[in-house]
Amino acid sequence: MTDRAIRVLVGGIGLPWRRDLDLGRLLIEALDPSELGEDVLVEDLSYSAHRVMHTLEAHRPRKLVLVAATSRGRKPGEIVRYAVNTEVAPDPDDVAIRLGESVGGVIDLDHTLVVNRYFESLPRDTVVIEVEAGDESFGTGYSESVDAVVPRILELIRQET
Amino acid sequence: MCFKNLPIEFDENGNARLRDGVANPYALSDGESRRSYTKVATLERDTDGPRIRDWMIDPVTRVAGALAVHTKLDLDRREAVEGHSMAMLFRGYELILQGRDPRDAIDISSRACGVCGGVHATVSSLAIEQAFGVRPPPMGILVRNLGEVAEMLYDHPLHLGLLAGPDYSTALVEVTNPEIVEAARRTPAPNSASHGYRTIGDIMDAMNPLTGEYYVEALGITRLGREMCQLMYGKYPHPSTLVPGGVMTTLSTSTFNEFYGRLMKYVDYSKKLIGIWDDIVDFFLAQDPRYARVGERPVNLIQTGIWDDPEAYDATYAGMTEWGERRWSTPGIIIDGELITTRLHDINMGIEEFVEHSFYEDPVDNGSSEGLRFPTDALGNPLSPYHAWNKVTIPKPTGHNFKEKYSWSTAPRWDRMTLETGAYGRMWTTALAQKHPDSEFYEATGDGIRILMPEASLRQMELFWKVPTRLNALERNRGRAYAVAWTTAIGLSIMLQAFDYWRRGETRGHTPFTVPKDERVGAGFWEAGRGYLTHHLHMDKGRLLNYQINTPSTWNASPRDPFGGLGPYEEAIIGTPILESVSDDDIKGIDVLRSIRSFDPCMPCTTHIDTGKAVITRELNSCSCTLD
Repeated sequence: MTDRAIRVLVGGIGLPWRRDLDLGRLLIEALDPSELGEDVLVEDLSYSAHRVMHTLEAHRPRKLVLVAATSRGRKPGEIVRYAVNTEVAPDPDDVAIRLGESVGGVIDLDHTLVVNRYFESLPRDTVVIEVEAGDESFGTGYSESVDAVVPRILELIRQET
Repeated sequence: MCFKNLPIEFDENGNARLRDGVANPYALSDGESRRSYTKVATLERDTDGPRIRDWMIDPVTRVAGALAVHTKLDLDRREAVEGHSMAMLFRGYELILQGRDPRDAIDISSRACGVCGGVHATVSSLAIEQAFGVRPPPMGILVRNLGEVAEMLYDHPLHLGLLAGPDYSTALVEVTNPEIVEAARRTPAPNSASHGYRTIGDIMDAMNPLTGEYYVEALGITRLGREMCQLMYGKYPHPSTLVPGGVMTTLSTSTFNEFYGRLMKYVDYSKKLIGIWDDIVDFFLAQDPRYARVGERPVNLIQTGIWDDPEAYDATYAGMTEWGERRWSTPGIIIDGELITTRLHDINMGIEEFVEHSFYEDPVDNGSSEGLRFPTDALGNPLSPYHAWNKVTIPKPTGHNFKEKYSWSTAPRWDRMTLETGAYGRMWTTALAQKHPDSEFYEATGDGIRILMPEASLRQMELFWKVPTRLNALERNRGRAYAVAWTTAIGLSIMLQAFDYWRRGETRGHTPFTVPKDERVGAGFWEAGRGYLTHHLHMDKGRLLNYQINTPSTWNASPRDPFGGLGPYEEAIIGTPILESVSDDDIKGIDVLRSIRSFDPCMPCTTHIDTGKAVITRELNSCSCTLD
């Protein structure tokens, strides 16, 4: 619902009150949009995958940068940056399950990536910056290992825009 | 006299009181009369036959949140003979909100659901403004109404197209009943002119997950509903502009024009949707009349009403029955198909929440009212120790078997009866009550609701939802399809009101308020997409002492109560025929799943934070509703 031309959309995906898992949402708030340029939109994408799809369809950014903390068994605080292969379609059965869960309110980076890859709503240039969560318990504030890498994540976001 | 089980009677002035001579009016274990309604005896069948298959569905897919269902299938009689409904995660908002500034409740309780956060934010603001004693200006009420029209228009098409619809799609039915798919290919679609599909088979193809035209269109139409919510609420799913006493949305004529433009798209969409679901429902019933028994349960419904009349709503508890009956959707209780009350005061005083089979501790000694903080409401109406203003949430995940405890959902009852709620339920109460404000676009007729969908891209159509004679899976879905048209009609009616106030310059959206420091209570009565929704609060010194959320799926997914009464899902499962035309080994249980999905379950807001002591079988993050 904007007429503004968007070159890069920076989207954070976070889970409120889940400490490190809320990083995506909180980092978005910490970013100063004015230093990123007028054609960069910073948006909280902590909502269901199909709703993210509608947002991407509305803005049609040339590039998407997604930021989130995840729990994949890596060392807490480890940062991974990767480009999403938008050419390969995900397994339709997996998409159907994840879409069903998304419309039921599930919010998750992987659901967002799978559903949006399937419906071809991700721009060809889609980059994900993930950090391994150290503390997923109920509460606010990061664990020490994630708190220590926040400046580096912000730097990576700026590099991508 | 609407109470049959609780010993509540009314004097000649209509004031309620407890009947004299009843030593313990809210006892759980004495007084046969208070258990006479129990339908267990007629519903529960022999579950020890030689060919009984014990079946656990965990998780039930294509529902919101974590729901598990246990059933037993009698393979000789080909029907489900047992049912247990299990909410698998704990929500805990009642505990999170204790001790907080009441204003926080709007934002925090909104997170109780990732699907319909707007309804929780709205009902929370209603409860708080009642406690604060602040009446919103008409425009504030109208904007709230429109936001909620939008939320329903997001919710219902999503459920029908993406969650319930696939159960009737070619892809699924050809596995369980290939003969039905064959028949569908040969059967012309009676409503082809409205939806464009030539045969029933074409409709079923369109319902296929991911690839079906109707499925994909349903996904697309939800975007419009969400944008409409954003126009009224600033953002969605978790609104940023709802406050006690109205809304803080910055409004302009373009706000309404943009909303109107999108609403008109639902005018067309609903014509098509009703054609699709009328054709599907009628086709399945024609193929096998036993489909009427799938998910069937007694017509016992509870609705809290939604969409206020800006002239009637004054935010007071005392005026609640009067302004409740002026809602576009009428509150009410229906027992065995008969409307027995539309009074919100009656509804409030009859509500109890039991935890006999839920993972909570019950601090009340067999219904004793000794030391009770609220034996009555502010008007003197009696309240149970199990009523929301008296209830406390104490998690206790022990037991873990069907005889003891098996769900994180509580068992809400009204007058100690099992009641269901839904989008179709609010049409039901409104149709029977005939109390809604005048509208150019719909009329309750006593036996249904006549809906006029004006010309947009498709020609004008008059639609009629007839109150069904039976309540089952197919009629729930059909009713929900009509609810899209009806909600659109209400949206059009409210738009006309809003334009009128706007022209008169009455554009103020909220009334200023201060947070009172004395002891107060408040209750919000509203509806979610799935029906009944209440928030009850008790506050003192500017802080919340108690906050209780009761949601539609808490009613629908409830476990058994202390009297042996089953929850609605459980009732609906038991007696559901297994109509699959495949061998016993290939039964998929689609009819049981159709039964459950027809309620549009939403488990995130049903359950009440995992203490970390239970077994985690799968971890999901659902908008922070399933925190552990």
